[in-house]
Parts: sequence; structure tokens; C-alpha cells
Amino acid sequence: MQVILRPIGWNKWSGILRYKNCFDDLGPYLTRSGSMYTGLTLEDEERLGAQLGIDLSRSSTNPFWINFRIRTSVNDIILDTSDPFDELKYLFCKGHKRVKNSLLEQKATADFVLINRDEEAKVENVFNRTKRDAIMEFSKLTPTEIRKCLRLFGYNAESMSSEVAENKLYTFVEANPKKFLDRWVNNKSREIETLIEVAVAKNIIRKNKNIYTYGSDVIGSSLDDTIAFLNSPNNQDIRLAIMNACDTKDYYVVGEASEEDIAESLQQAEAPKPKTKAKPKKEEVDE
Amino acid sequence: MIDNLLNNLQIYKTKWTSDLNDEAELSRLLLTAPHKMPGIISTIFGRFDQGSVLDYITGGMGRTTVIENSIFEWDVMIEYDKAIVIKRAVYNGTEITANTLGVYPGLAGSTFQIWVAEKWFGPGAIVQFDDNKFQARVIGEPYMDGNDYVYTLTCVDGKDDSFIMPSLLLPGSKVSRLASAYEEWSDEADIFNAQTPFKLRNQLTTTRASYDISGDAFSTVMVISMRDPKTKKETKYWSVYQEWTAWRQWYERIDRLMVYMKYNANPDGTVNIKGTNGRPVRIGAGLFEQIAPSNRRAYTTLTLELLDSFLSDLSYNIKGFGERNFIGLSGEMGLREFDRVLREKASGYTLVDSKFISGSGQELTLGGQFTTYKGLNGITITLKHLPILDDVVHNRKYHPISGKPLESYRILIIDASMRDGESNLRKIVRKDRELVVWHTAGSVAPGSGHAKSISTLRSNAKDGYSVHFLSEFGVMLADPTTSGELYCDAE
Repeated sequence: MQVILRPIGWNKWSGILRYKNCFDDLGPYLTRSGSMYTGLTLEDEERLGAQLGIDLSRSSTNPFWINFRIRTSVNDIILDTSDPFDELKYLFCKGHKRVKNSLLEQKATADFVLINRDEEAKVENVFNRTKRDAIMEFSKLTPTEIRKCLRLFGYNAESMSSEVAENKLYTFVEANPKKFLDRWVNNKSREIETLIEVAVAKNIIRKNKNIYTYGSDVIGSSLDDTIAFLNSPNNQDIRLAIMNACDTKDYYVVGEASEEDIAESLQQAEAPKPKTKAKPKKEEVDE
Repeated sequence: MIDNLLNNLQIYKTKWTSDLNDEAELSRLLLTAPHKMPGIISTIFGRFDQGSVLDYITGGMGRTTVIENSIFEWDVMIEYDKAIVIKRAVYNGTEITANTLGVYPGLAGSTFQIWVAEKWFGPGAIVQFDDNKFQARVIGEPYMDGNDYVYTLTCVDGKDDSFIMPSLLLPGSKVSRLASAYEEWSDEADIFNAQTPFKLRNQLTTTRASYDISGDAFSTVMVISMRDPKTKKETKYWSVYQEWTAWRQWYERIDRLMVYMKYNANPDGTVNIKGTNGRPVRIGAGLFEQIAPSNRRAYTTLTLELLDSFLSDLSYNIKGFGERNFIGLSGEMGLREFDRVLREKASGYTLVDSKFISGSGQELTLGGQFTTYKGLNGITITLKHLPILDDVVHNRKYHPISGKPLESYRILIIDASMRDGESNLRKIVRKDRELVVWHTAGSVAPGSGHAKSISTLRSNAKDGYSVHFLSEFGVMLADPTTSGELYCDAE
């Protein structure tokens, strides 16, 4: 594995990372207990110590650690962990208070960043694999399922055309493939969840903070509770009542707009707007 | 100590005063607890008397530059010569690339061309390639090809079997000047180069403080007299005592600013912080900020090997062996570490007893402290105590083993040698504003005392007077590349 140690501590005053022929040596420091920070576990100490033939114990008097340093200037340092000494440096840097482990990490004390190409590639590959799976699952969805799925993610798809709904969900899936897989594909109670979302949107179920009420009855103190309530064989009458209410209390626009609707909208847009009443002048008011 | 905690031995809480020093605060202490006075006096004079080391080694030793603007700039010259990059090379019409085979540039006195971005050599210059065994001489003036300069070169020894390795002429390789050589009656000459790798800019900081003396305190006489250890003057007046105290605090604050202040201007010179009257509050870069991109090294236990290699790093940017004189400013613990390291080293030598043992009989004394180290190649470092690093009020991060402030272990190593007749470390001050002190008088004025006549003009109705201090100053480390810091690091 190849890892890059890159200096990032730009001096705000001079705008310079490091003057010519100057070095900033990254060295061990004392921990609160008074021992030495080495970044190594006991197992690492033994394994690498044996490989390198050095005593790597973290005592504050260990001469190896007293004199140990990683010399840095303005250039990147490439560490190849297949070399035991480079592995030692890598492990030392990994938990060091002056080193952050990713460009995205926020660390106020960081003067260096550790860039691990393998690890970053692994994380990216996992994301891409998930994305591919999610898109494959997406392609199996029917238009009705797309609308239900969008409802689950907080979008009201009832007033969208099929094309817009599909495009909206695709954009969402591409950006959040894992969320799509978790909340839709691998979610066994997605149907009932969708029903709850629609019922809440149509004010059939009322939601106050985490409390779900149907009429005057509290049907759950969380989403999971409510799902369990509606899945219970004893409460199927309530579930049916909610489903019927959802069907009857439908949204105003479903599917694509008709030609008549479009014509009516255009007429409204072209119609002259009523003039606003002119405000009386201040002088007139005074009189 | 936590002020809010009272134990059985404490009668009342510690009380802090600021700004107003009136009779009620100061002389009451004298009347009710005169035994406490020596402690207070020794605290103020003992500590503050050494509190202005940096101001002393700059302004106090005449190392001051007076300017008439609040912003100052200087160039840092690192090197006069450098190696320049070869962009292209051609021999006998064949471009030299990594795949070029059977080409021998400069063979048997032939010429070849190199393309470089700068006109860095004159005719007759002898140049070296990345392997300095290979040398060539510049023939004539270069000509321009687009934005590049094309130099014609030939092997310097002119032998039939000599040539320059093609790998040394690949794009990205470098070429530098060795010197130059000419025939008799020549009218050609090499050129000199100057390089200013970077320009630094700093600005002056205006700092202020003031104190008030009430009319009552002005004339209140102390029972004991106090002597200023600096001027040896004695006084029995609170007002004079307060004046001394203020001076000492003032210089300690100046020292703290010189070390720790942080530059706050934007690249275009504007400042985001505004004062209450809407004008910018300018703060310059202190010493730590100026040496931050220089050499820095953390230590947990100082060793001679570490000290020696660090000084060697600092010296790398100082060519002259006679100019490698450093001042190490450190707290008490840094001084102790330095002494311990040298003592350990000295234990290997046979020392005459008089170095550490003096006196005789009941007056026998053991001990001594190392404060100077002479290293290889003309390196000398002398440590000087900088008391602000020991101050537990301002330095609250502690060493996990000794419990002393970590800052006390810090060794700020400054190249304070003279360059071109001027000190590398300088205090920069605004003309006539290095130290401005004045007072606004009410019923009392320092010097003339209480107003006794209706015709006496005073600036306000206060029963007392106020004294104001102002200084507009900055600090400049002309070549920051030769200074650095060793610091003890802990979690």
C-alpha cells in the first residue's frame, strides 16, 4: 500500500509552506500519562520491532523514540507499507495529532494530511458498487412504485408527470444509492410506510412530533410503533379505513395535465392584471 | 489557585484591581498588613525587572529601525545562483528524448543546443549538468526561440571521445554555472545573477495602556520606602510606586507582543478588524509567526545529537562560518534541559575541579550552569532566559511529567548576527512613536502636584490624573530562514 504524507500547514503571514532548506520534523510527543506517543499497538511494537531489530517500546526514555522524526519540507513523502520502516512511519502518522487522515477530515491541529490511495479507491469502489446495484433496482420500478418511493423520501409525486417523477427519483438514487437500497429495496415494510406517509400528507393520520394519531386514537409513538400497529391483525380494520380514506381524499392533479388545463392556465397568464389601488399622497391624507 | 475556594486558613478571597489605584486599595493594605508589602514589592520588581529581554536585545541595544509608515517590506535573499531547467536539447538536428539512441552530444568538439526559460549564463560560462563530472562551455550569446533562450554548448575538455550523456539533457534535467573561462584578448564576459525568491511584509502594531492615580493616593505616603532596582531611586509615594509597576508591566506586554502577535492584514493590505471608531486595528507578525515556516522540531527529551543536528540545519542557510552565532531564548526548563545535555556530554571529559567546585572549608560550593555551546563549523549558541515563557498565567499547558508549563521548555533560536552592518533581528518603530507617554490631569498633575489656583488649567474634573502609554512598533527577522524553534511537545 502506498500512502502520501503531504504538508498542508501554510503560514498565513508569509504565504509560504516552508522556507528553502528548512524542515519541520514530525516527532513523537508525550501523552497525558507521561508515556510517548508512537502510534503503535503492542502487537505492532513486537512485530515491527522484531523485523527492524529495534526496541519500539513506548517508554519516554526509549532512545529510539527520543531521536525519531520524519523530516518534512515542502514535498510529499511517499510511504510504501511493504517496507517495515515505512509501515512504522505510516502507523506513527496515522494517529498523530498533527496529521489528518483524509482531505475531508476537519482537524484544527493538522499540519499534514495522509493520503491513502488504496483506502480511498476502496471507499470509492464500495460506493460505485452500491450505485450500480441501486440503479439496477431502479430500472425494475413501475410508475406507481416510483411515486410511492418518492413519497417515502419526502416528495409529493402525485402532482408530477411520470417523466418528471422518474427523473426526480433517478437523480436521488444516483446521489444516495445506499439510502435508496435501505429505505426502499431492502425495506420489508415499505408499503405500510408509504401508506403512513400519504395518510400524514393528506391529514388522515396526524403527526405531532413523534406521536401518530388517527382520529382521537394514538396509533404509535414512533414510525416503527405505527408500522407495528397497522401490521397487527387486530388493527386491520383501521388500516383498511385509512387506505379507503387515502383513496377517496385524493390529490387534485394526478398524472399529466390535459390540453384543456394547459389552455386555461395560458388564458389566466395572458389576462390583464387588476390595477392596484393607488395609495393616497401623504399631503392629501394630511388635509 | 482557585480564587473561589476558601480554606480554614484563608480569611478572605484574593482581590484583583485594575485601572484605578486609589488610596482605598493600596494604602489600606499598608495600614492593615504591612508585613505583606515586601512580598508584593519583590513580586513586581523581581519578576518584572527581567521582563523585557527581547526589547532589550533589540531596541535596548540600538537594533532599531525607524520608519515613517505603518507597513514595512523587505526581500529575503537566499541564494545568488541556481540551477535552471532544460526544456529541450538538440544535437545535429536530432532532438534528445528518452528513446534517443546512438547520439553523442558534443563528441569530438561538436556543438549542441539547449532550450531554457531564462537568460542565466553569459558567453564563456562553464556549466555543469546533474552529474557534475560533465561540463560544457557556452559559445556566444544565446538567441531567442519563442519565449525560450537557446544556448550553444560544447564539451569543456574538447577531447575526441568526450561527449555529454544524453540522459543529462532530457527535458526536466538541470544545468548550473560552475564559473567561466576565456581566451587572451577576449571581449566576452559572463553575467552576474541576482535572485529575490520572496518578499516579506509586516506591519506595526499600536499598543496602549493607561493608569489612574486618585488625588488621595497621590499624596499618601507609605511607611516604608521602596527602591527601584533599575534606577536605584527610592520613593515613599504610592504614585511613584504605581509608575514603576506600570513601566514594568508595559515592557513585559511589549515583549509578549514581539513574540506572540499574529499578523492580521489581508494580502491587499486591508484589515478586517475595526476598532470602536471604525478604523482598522493593525497587528504585525511576531517572532513565532515569522519563523513558523523555518526549521521546527519537537522534542520530548533534549539530546546533544538533536541540538547539534538542529543547529546544523539552521546553519545551512548561513554560508560564513564566522556568522553562525545564535541566541537561544528559553524558559527555565529549556535552560535546565540545555544544561543537562551539556553536563552529560561534559561528564565524558576530564574537567579540572575548579570548573564546578569552588571555595573551601565551610564555603565549599558545587555547581555551575552551561549557557553556551560551541558546535562544529563555527556554530555558537548562547541561551538567554525569556521569563514570559515561564509565566503560568499565560502558559497553561503543562508538561505531563514535570508539571511545569510546556512553553518553559521552548527554545526560540534566533540568528542575531550582523548582516551588511545591520542586525538580523530588529525592532521597527514609527518615527517619534516608539514610546509616547503623556498624562491628562485633573486635580493633580504629576510633577506640579495639586492645582492651587483658579487660573490653573486642567483637562478634566477628576480628582486625580491619568497616565497613558502608547507604542507603535514591530519586529523584523530580516532572514527568517536562519532561525527556528525547538519545542517540547505533549498531548
